[in-house]
Amino acid sequence: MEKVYKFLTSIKFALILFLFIGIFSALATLVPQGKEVEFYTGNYSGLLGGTILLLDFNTFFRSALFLVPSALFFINLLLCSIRRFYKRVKSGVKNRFGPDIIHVGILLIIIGGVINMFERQEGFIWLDPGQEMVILEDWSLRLDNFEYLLYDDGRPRDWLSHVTVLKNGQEVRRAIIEVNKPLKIKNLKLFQNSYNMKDSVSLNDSSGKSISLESNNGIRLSDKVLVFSNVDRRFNGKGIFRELHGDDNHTIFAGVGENVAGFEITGFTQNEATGLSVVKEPAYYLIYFALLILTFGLALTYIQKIGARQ
Amino acid sequence: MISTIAFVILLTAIIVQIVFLLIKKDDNISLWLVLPSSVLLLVNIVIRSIEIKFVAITNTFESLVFFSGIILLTVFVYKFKWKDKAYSFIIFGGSIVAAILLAIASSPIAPDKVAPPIPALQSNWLTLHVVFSFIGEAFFVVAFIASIYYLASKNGEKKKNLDRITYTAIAIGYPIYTAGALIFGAIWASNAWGRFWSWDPKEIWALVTWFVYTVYLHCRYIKGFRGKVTSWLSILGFALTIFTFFGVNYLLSGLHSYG
Repeated sequence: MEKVYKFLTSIKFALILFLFIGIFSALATLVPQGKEVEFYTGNYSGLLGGTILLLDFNTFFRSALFLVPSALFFINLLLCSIRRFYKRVKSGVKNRFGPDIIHVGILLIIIGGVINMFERQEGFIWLDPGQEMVILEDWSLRLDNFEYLLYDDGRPRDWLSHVTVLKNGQEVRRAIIEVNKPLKIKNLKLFQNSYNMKDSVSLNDSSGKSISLESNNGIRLSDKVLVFSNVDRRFNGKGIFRELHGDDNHTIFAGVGENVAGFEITGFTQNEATGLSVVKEPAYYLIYFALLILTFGLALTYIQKIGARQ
Repeated sequence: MISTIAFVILLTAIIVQIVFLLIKKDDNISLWLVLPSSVLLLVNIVIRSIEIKFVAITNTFESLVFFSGIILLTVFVYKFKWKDKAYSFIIFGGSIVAAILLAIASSPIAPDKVAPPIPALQSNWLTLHVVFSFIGEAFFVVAFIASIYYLASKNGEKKKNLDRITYTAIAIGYPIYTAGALIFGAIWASNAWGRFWSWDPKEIWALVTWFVYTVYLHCRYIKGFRGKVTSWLSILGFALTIFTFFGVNYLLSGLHSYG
């Protein structure tokens, strides 16, 4: 029993686990993760596809193949750290303790990772300018304005969501959400994730009555359906429409002042909607603290080593 | 243009190094060509940074130029500080690695257009992540070269010295790489995407690289593992470093498709 305990807490065992986890994690990058079963049965040979599914290699980082050796490593590191600490206290020898702080940091990161694995939640919301959405009990978020900034060469420079945070209907604060600068509301964080450009067309019918259609919406007419797709900004700036007659469908390009299916086009508008990720990460502060501990441990190890050499 | 001049100077340095290696004399000349080459490469990054108003290490070209510059600076310091003949081989090996990286930088896979970063890359944590990673990896280059020399050498004293060089290089590079690649990278990811770690292929291979160097450092506490085993680990670690940078970008896809 003592031999087993000694092996389980040895550096050799830790190194074996490192190599095992390392090799299989590397192999996991060669297999697309999280796809549906048919993807693996269709794209891999019978034996290989079956093995991937049997071992849960398609969700490797939640499989026993990953979690069991990781758990063993956690136990190994924990027992090693306790043994080192106990030895130091018993012998009174002032060894370098930088590595011990590094080990504590790693243990805390693993604990944080496990908490997040079960408790982390992520959602996604689309907001149009002026739209308000409840994100927590008593708390809501209103998008006041969305800016999509471009560099001179047309590449994206920034996406800015100008928002107002409301509590029980009262404005609490205004903020700007942009990439790398999330907004924190209580235990949630909102990240600038995406944007959507929605085109709309304004049409006048023969009696002068005005109709508005958003992208991918249509009007049913007596003998056909007229669908507005979007504005073609790459070539001619005209609207792209489709007329559907049963199985027939043909595409029409028409601009402002032109006629399509008996309607006069009076204008195009573009609305930009913002896409925000909403994240609840219970272990955020624990992991952040663990990373600081790890950094401190690394620095201390280095400083103590140089000190010992001198 | 500046990188081209740096490359030409570096090639001249390599020629000088080869001559000294062939005539088996200690080379105290080429380091004075390696230094200006390094300085020019790093100045190029500074100039590009001023132009885009952000630290210019956000694409493959800039990453390769910066990495080459840091490698050359590192091997220059090694040779300048410790005049030992072993360091002539270190500076030669480092020059070759830097020359290969610069050759790749001048290829079509690394367009050299000066362009400010896209929104995801506009972060100080990104700067720390990339800078520290490359500085750490520059020391891994030294360890890699010393390990090759160790395995090729038959002289016991030389091997002992080379083993020490490998160990000290990794001992310096490891904490810097850990801070850059893992810690600062995780913090940047948390701010950008809302999660410290996504099991993205780039992250996994960076972690596997870190595993290998962690195994290296711990192997030195195990009797019989010093020397040959640790030298091979050092070589493996460097190979993984290069795969993490290139192989993942071009063979696997994920969040990190920047540079």
